[in-house]
Amino acid sequence: MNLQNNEKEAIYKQILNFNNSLSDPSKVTSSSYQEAYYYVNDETAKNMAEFFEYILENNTSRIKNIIDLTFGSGNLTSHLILDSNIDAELIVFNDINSDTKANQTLKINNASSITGIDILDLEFKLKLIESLNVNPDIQDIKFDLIVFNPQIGGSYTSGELKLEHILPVVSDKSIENYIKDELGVQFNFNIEPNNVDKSILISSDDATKNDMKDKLDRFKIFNYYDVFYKSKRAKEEGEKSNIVKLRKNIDNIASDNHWMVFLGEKKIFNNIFADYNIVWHYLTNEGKDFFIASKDHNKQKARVCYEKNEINVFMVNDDCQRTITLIGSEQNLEKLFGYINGSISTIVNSLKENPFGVESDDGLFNNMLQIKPFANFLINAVLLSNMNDKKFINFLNKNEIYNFNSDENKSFKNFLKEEK
Amino acid sequence: MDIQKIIVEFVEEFKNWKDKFNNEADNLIKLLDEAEKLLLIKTFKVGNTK
Repeated sequence: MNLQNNEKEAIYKQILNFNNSLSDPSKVTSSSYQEAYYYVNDETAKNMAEFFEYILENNTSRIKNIIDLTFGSGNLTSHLILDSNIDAELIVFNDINSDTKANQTLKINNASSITGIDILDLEFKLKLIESLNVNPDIQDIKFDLIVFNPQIGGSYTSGELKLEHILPVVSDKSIENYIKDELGVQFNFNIEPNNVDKSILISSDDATKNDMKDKLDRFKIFNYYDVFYKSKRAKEEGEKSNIVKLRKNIDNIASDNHWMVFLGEKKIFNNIFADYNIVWHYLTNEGKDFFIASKDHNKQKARVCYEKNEINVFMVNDDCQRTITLIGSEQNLEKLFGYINGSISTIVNSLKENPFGVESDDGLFNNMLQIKPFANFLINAVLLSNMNDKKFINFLNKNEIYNFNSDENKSFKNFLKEEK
Repeated sequence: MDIQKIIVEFVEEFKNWKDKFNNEADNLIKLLDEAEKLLLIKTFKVGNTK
């Protein structure tokens, strides 16, 4: 592919122009795409791409096919590819919102495509192949580099990517041995794995529901299979997780030696990619960290942390804690205060959107002292005093109740206000 | 649609909101700790200067 510098610059300029353009062209006061949807900014993209290039230079990796799973990182992915001169055969910028909130004209070369598949869709891979319109004879497609930034990319707005806060169990042991050795289960049990669903059912004719709950209730994910359990007389317990759905889809499209690139919070990375034994972790000063991860069964588990020193050289950081440098501390502080301001704004917005249903412009702290109709309603409902209220039941029967914060829910809120 | 279902949905929504809120609060605490360290370092020229 090897684009000339001026061609690369033209691509970067197109990305910048899009990121800085108004997210709602009908309103001159609307925020830019970058601000509205938390697209990875230019400085971050270049910084991460520099680290990526550094790791790539020191490791052998053949990268042909590349996919960016969520579109907020289009800028990052473009820099990863172009700054390292990766000779890509296929580049896919995917996002569920690709039709409404994405840079439709982002194009690296003739090998790049835009797709709009939900990364939690059970038929993700099939739909991806269909979208790419590749040769109909091709039934399979594998990617060598997969980019994912769920925390920064605001690109999953069409359905928030609700990844559970579960640290999966990753073990070389069989599940039978793990359950006996690590969880101390002594009752007899059967294991039924489902490789299509990526789930495991643990059933027992001997144990009671409480026996099983006691040992297995916190055992949610094993080697990226959802865990369910069932005693003889009780119903099946357990839940399908978005973590496993996502991992199933990633595993289906990942080549054997693929690299996973992740920009976001460390704990999210650990939840989704706990089984990647090789991890290069770049400690940044930008609130989010950058990870490059791979699976190499011939190597021991290794996580190496890096940071840039004061003369912009990547150094291994043994204790994996960010170091603060004296040089440039004024700029660091200025940036840090900016991040603090942003974080406080996010928290204030989060408080305003609290599910207890207060809506008022009178200021945050006044709001917290006001009557909370939805919470009051729930208390009443739980205490059964309204359970048989005809008007209430009629309202419920109209099926007008949706997620509390959704726009469609206004009629429900109004109903509650009328009731007060 | 029954009341129990609504309450379960509400609890689920509350749980998600709480997780999101906790995450952002964790992030803010980290940033504030960082700012505190940086201010001390800048003021007294001490600290880890690896």
